[in-house]
Amino acid sequence: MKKAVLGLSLSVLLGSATAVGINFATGNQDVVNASSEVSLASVTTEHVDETLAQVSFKMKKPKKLPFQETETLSSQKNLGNGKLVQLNYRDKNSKGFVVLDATDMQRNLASEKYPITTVVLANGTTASFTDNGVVQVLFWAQDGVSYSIKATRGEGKKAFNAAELADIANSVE
Amino acid sequence: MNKKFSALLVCGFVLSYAVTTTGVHAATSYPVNCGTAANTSSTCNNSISVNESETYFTHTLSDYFRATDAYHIYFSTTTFDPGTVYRGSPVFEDYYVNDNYNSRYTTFSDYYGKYLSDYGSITMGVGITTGYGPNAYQSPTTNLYIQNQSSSNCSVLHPCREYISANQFKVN
Repeated sequence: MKKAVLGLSLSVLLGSATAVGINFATGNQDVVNASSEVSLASVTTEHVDETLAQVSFKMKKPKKLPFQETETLSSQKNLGNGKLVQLNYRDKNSKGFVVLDATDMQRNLASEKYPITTVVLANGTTASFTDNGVVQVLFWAQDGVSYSIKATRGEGKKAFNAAELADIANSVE
Repeated sequence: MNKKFSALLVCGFVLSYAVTTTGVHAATSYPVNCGTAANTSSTCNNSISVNESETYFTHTLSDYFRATDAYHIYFSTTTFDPGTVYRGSPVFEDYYVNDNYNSRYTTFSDYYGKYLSDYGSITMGVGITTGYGPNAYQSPTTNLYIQNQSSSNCSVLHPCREYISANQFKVN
């Protein structure tokens, strides 16, 4: 019995030391694994249709983007007691992007520092717009789903205005 | 050495390796649970450390809140405190105040897309009152999302990963 306890203790110590040693030697690369259950909210993948199929609400995609995109990436995460899905479109020719997200939970946009203005979409829905100096943001709801767009043309480039983001929102059908 | 003893040693090694590996990489504490008595204020802190292929950083989220009565919690301010960015260029994403009792969610995008390394401590006014119920699904949460890189860099080869720093609140 004593041998078993001693042996088990040594094997536990050896296992821990090996793990620490390997992590140290490899610079602790490539986390996730078990920690994904703890604090990783989402990971982008190219499997857009699979991501959209995993939620109980229907997220519509934009038919119009302000640039020619590269591959579309998607992710999903929990939002309170519901789910939130994100589609990430990147400009093929610059650092610009449009991130469209959707959730079946009721939400609203707030800001401490930046003014929030409203813009009326083609279907009569009122959307909220703000610009934080890096990205421009539009929030609206349609068909029981709350959408947001976060977009930029890239650092140092002209910001999108509310009408331009509304154009993208109007194409979500 | 008999077979059972050998199996015990192997199991010990494998188990401890797995647990330690997780511990080395683990981002900590989701969510941190905080409570205060009715008519009192408190601060809820949640520190995370993320170390992965694109980035290695630490961050502390601190929410200052007050239980205004047994059924409501007021969120006064929040502080984002980027500790150290050892590697990569992680960015802030949205900060949510989730009123889970009433299924209402408020999003602050003030720092969305901004690099952690560009900031020291940031304190932001929140000013939101949520409902409160004793069950976990009824109690409010605050969530700050941090992405391992800018959305302009997400690709199949370099996927964007969002990490969450979250606090959950109750009235004691």
